[in-house]
Amino acid sequence: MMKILSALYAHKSARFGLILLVILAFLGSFAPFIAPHGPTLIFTGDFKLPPAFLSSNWKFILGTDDVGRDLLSRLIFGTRISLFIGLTVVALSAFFGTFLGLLSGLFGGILDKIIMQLVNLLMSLPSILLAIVIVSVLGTGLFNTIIAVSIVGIPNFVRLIRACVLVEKEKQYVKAAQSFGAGPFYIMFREILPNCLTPLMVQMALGVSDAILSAAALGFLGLGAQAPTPEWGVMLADGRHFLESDPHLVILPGLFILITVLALNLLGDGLRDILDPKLSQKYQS
Amino acid sequence: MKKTSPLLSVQNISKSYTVSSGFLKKETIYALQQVSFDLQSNQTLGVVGESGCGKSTLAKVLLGIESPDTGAIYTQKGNNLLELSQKERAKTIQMVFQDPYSSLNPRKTIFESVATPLSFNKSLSKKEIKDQVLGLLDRVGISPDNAKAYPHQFSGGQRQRIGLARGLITNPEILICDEAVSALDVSIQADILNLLVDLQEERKLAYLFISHDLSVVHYLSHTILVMYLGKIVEMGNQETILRGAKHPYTQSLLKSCYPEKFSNFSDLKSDLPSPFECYTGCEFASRCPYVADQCREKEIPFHYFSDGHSVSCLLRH
Amino acid sequence: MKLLEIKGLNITLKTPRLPLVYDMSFELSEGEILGIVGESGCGKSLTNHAIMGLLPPELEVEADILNFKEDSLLNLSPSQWQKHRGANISMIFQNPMSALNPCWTIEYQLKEAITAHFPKLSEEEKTQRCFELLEKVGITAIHHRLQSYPHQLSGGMCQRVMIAQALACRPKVLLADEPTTALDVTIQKQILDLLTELAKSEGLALVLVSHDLSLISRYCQRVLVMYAGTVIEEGQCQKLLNSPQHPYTKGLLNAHPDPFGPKKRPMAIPGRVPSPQEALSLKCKFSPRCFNKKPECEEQEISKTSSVKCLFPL
Repeated sequence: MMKILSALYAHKSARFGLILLVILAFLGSFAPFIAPHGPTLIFTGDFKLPPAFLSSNWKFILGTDDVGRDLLSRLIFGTRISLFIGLTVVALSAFFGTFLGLLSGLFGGILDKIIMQLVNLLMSLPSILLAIVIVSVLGTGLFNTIIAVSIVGIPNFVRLIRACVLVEKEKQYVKAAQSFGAGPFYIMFREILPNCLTPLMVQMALGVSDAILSAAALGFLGLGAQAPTPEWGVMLADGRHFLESDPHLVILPGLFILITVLALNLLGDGLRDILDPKLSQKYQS
Repeated sequence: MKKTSPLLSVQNISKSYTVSSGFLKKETIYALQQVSFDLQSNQTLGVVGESGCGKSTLAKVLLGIESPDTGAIYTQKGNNLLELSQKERAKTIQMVFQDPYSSLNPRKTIFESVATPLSFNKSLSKKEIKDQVLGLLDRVGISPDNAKAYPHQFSGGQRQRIGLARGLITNPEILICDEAVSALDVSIQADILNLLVDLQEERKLAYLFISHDLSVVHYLSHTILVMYLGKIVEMGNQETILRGAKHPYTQSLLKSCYPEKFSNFSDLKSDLPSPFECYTGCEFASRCPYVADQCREKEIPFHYFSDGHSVSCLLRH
Repeated sequence: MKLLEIKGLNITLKTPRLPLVYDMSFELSEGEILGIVGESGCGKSLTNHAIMGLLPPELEVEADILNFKEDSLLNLSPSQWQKHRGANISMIFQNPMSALNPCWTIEYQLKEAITAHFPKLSEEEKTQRCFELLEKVGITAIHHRLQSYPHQLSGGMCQRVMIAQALACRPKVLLADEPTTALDVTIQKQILDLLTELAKSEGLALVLVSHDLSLISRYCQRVLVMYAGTVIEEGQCQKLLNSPQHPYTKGLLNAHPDPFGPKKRPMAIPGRVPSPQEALSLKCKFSPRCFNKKPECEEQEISKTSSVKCLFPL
């Protein structure tokens, strides 16, 4: 773990992503202590105030929204929500996706065909549309958003793990395990899965950013988290009406989404660069 | 000479695979056809043949990771190996694999890799497993201090030794070496070959040694089996196969490896034929320099000479 | 006539600075068959690739002389290399199945090679040349083979096609990098017989690289034995086999079991090949493993010009 972190730090673009992410994680974790005000606290009369460097009103550093809530505090609490959504979604998608991918790759046959057809079905619909459909069935709210976006993210993991299993299955150490009587579940979890961790980790890092974007999109459409939850997508939707008069209401949440997604993507790409060539170097005589 | 019952009696093993070749079309590969032979205790049976001859399939069938379509494999005690569970079978027969780079799980320490076959045996304590594993690693020339290292930290030759330790940890009577030294440099090969010879003497092991390198096979083996397209074409003791080979295919193999010594043998025409076809008569007919019409008509029986030499050829040069 | 002249060839990794091949020198004349023998990591493939200009940019090539006939092969531009490759020097690789492009037919690939140096030929002339080439390498049912894809051909057939492709532009030098290692034993002999016959009939010079000393000795007149990046012994094949002078060559010969000789244990060479990093500090790269080692081996430099790189040849 430490080796990976130090390698990431040494990687030029991943370092940037890593630092940003650490800052965001810090903000999210200690939001109640860092944010100057509560996220849902309404300051009557102080609505649509511009950011402090324009109005020199330092009580609200980034201004207020249309209802009178401090924008900075909402954004900071929003970090916590978005990261929570991202991590939970990826954890769920990866868990179920990996399990299905392992079954599909190892057993093959009818099971493989059924799982892959389900995956194809899920992938044939645009992910946002699929998420909207699921949320329409389950209802809105943060919890259901997480379920919807998790389901949408499963196919990527199934395909990834299945491809990895198909490669590893042919290797001689798997044949050796079969030869001394290891059962299929032992081979699946103790022999093959540890060798699929590398692409899995990369996909998970990139999956967090996808999940955050999808959740923000749902929030923007009003199908995800609901007011007064300070989710960035919801904030974008609310601020949309004031794009010309008070653009900071749209720009700032958008900027936070951008920075978070950028940080995660840089990290994911860096992780891929570090882990793949190291693996291939390891295998060279 | 008193004939002891063989350690393993392989009888009429056949194995075919169906492969899809194109839309809705299926073709059959006859990987093994009526293969029968005996393996004696404390002896090495060498198996030679080129690609498509079925030697790898034979190894997999004996090991238990593939099931044959027909046939039986009897142990000295009279059990049919094919009816035993894989864990039971692992106590009789194990294998050393060819590729030192993919035969060990890169995510397991070598201790874990070698200990795994034992860990399925619930009657052993952790300490007993540890002692056995470290002891065997030491015997094959890997220092026990390195037991917690990962495969990528070892060289090819060392990895084969670890593979050998893994193969021997369940104390099998038979060890299959499937091209176990082919991927190693010549100077390292010699080490592993010597180790195999020593271990055979110490533990009274029987080896089934599969290789395409005739000189290595001749060095290790007491008896040699020559296979071609899924069938045994000639079988005999090491000396006979070297100096008294009768089947034209065996002769061509010998000529290819030692052209100066066997210049009187004829060269082969053309390449290996497709494994998808089932041939009437002799499979070797298309390449045989001595082929006659009768060779293509029906199944070629084995002709048995004295001292265990047998040939599947009508013309028996 | 001297076709290849190489003197003091060094191939070095740029960062960190590590010599991978050093002091490599040999000459190749018309019609000669030269063998290069060595185990993995000795630098034989690197040398071949350097002569073809196929090394990656991380490796630096320097030499006192690296000439094809009178032209220097050092620091050539890509277009200058294109003139040499195929027309003057050609190479065939170890794994024939992966050296041919699986997406194109044999005809397409052969014509590609021909067009590279003879762009002015008409389609019929190119097809005619394809037929000639495939016939020369002993392929039957040529019409059918031309329309096939590499995966439809056997290993031996693919190797013949690769040889045909290499000969397409009438090179003077053919570098064969372990051409038969991936093939079956009976096919190996066919391919090597073919190569040596072609060398004679086409007047080519052939460099045969392998890890198998007995194979080399059957086909080559002269052989270079490489170890850890340099040539440690060179000479006429039969003489080398019968009385090797370098302890490594002797070790190689003793390591392989000989079914026709007296029954004895093959003798492994203890230790292992040093990595380029470890080799830096050694005067004689083989000394840690040598049975004939003496104290001077760690102190004295070995003369670069002798045919046996050993202070105490056997």
